[in-house]
Amino acid sequence: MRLLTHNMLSSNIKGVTKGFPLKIEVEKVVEKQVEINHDFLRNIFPKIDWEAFSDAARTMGYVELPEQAPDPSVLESDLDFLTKFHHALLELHLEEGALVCPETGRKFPVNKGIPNMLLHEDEV
Amino acid sequence: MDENVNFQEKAASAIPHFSINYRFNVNLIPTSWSNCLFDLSVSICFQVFGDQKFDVGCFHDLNMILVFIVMPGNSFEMSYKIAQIRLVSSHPEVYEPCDDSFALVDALLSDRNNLLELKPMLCMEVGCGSGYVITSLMLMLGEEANGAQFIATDINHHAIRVTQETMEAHGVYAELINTDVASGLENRLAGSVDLLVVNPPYVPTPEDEVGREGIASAWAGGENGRSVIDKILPVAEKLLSKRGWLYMVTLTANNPSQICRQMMKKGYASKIVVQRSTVEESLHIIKFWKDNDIEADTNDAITNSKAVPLGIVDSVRSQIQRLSFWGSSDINTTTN
Repeated sequence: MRLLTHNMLSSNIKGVTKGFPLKIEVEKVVEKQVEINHDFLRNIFPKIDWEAFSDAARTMGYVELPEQAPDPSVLESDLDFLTKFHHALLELHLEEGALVCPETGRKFPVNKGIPNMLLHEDEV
Repeated sequence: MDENVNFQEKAASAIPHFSINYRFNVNLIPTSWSNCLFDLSVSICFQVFGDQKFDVGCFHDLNMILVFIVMPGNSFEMSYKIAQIRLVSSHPEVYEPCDDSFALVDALLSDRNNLLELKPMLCMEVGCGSGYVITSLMLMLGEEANGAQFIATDINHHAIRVTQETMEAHGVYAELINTDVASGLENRLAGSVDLLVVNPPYVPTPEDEVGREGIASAWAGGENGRSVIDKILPVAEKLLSKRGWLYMVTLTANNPSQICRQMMKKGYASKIVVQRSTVEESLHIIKFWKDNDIEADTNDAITNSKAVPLGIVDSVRSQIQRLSFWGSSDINTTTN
C-alpha cells in the first residue's frame, strides 16, 4: 500500500465521525521504484492532506518532507521537492502492518501490501 | 460453423492478413473454447463517423487484440495490448474472465482514444475479480496514460490475491484494497475518480444469495440482478469527478434502460458502448458521464429527453441485421 492510498483511506466503521487519517503501524516497508511524472504530481497535490501525508511518511521512516504543506509554486520549480514528493507518495509501500482507526483504535490489517477494510457485522 | 466460414471468407476478402490471424487464433484456443470462439473472440462492428462509414473489427487472440478498420479502398490495422489469458491467475473461489469481461475490455478498447483524450488521473475498478479488466486497461493505455494511477477493490480476498498475481505477470501495478465496493475510500476519494469500471454481480438470484463469501459474490445479484448494482451506483456517483466516466456491465434482465433513466436524474448521460448477445445472456456495456445539459432532477418526471439509450440499442440492432456475417457478437461505437 502506497501513501497515496493511505491518504485516500478513512475508517469506515459505523458511527465514527473522525476516521481520517488512519494511524500506521509498521512491520515492514518496501521501496519500489517507479518513473516520476510531474503532471501527475501537480494534479494530485491539491487532493493530498499534507499533514497526514508527511506524518505517514515519517512513520514509514522517511523524514525528508516538510511538515507543513508547501506553497504549490514549488511544484513548478523545485525538482528536488518533486522527487521527494514522488518517492514518498508512490515508491514507499507498507508491505506488512496495520491501519488504525483514530477514533476507536480498531486495526485494519495490511498483509502483502493489501489493506483489508472489510468490516465485521456489528461495525456496518 | 457455416456462419463462421461465411464470416471468415467475407472478412478475409475485406481485411488483408485476416485469414492468417484467424488460423493462428484457432490453433491457440483450447478445444473447449472453440465452439464459442466467435462469441468470445471475434467481433466486427459497423461504425459511423459523421458521413463516412467504416467497418471495424476487433479480433482477440491469446496475446493481443487486433483492431481492424476497413475503409473503402483503404485499410490499416492497429494492435493494442491487453491482458493475456495464459497469464491471468486463477483460484477456485475467483470468477474467471468470461464473455462479460471480454465485452467490457472491448468497450474500453473501442473508447481508447477518447480515454487518452480524457487524461484520467485516478482510475478505479470496483470488483476486480481475476484482474483481467484492470490489467487490460493499464496495458491498453500504456505509457500514454501519462502517470495515471490505478486502484482496484474486491470484497473477495482470494480475488485480490489473484489480481495481484495477474498484474505481476503482466508487469503492471495498481493499488489493491480488500473492501466492499469502495468502503473506506468514499470520503477522501469523493469527486476524484476520472475513470470507474465495474463488472458487477448482475445475475438474478434469490436475495439471500447476495453477499455470500467467495465466488458467489462475483455473480449473485439478487432480484433482477439489481441488488449490488443499486448499491454501487450511488457510490460511483460520489466517487466520479466532474469529468469522470463510468463503464458498467449490465444484463437485459437488469433493465439497463431504467438504470440509464435513474442516472439521468442525477445528471448523467449514457450510451451503450457494446451490446453482445451470447447463448446465455444479453450483455450491455453502458458508459455514463456527467452532462451539464442534463439537469439533475429530484422529481420522478423526466424533463430531459436528450439521452435515450434504448434508441441507441435499437439502432445498433438495425445495423446488425444488415451485416450477414455478424455472428452473434457486435460492438457499436460512436464518437462523443
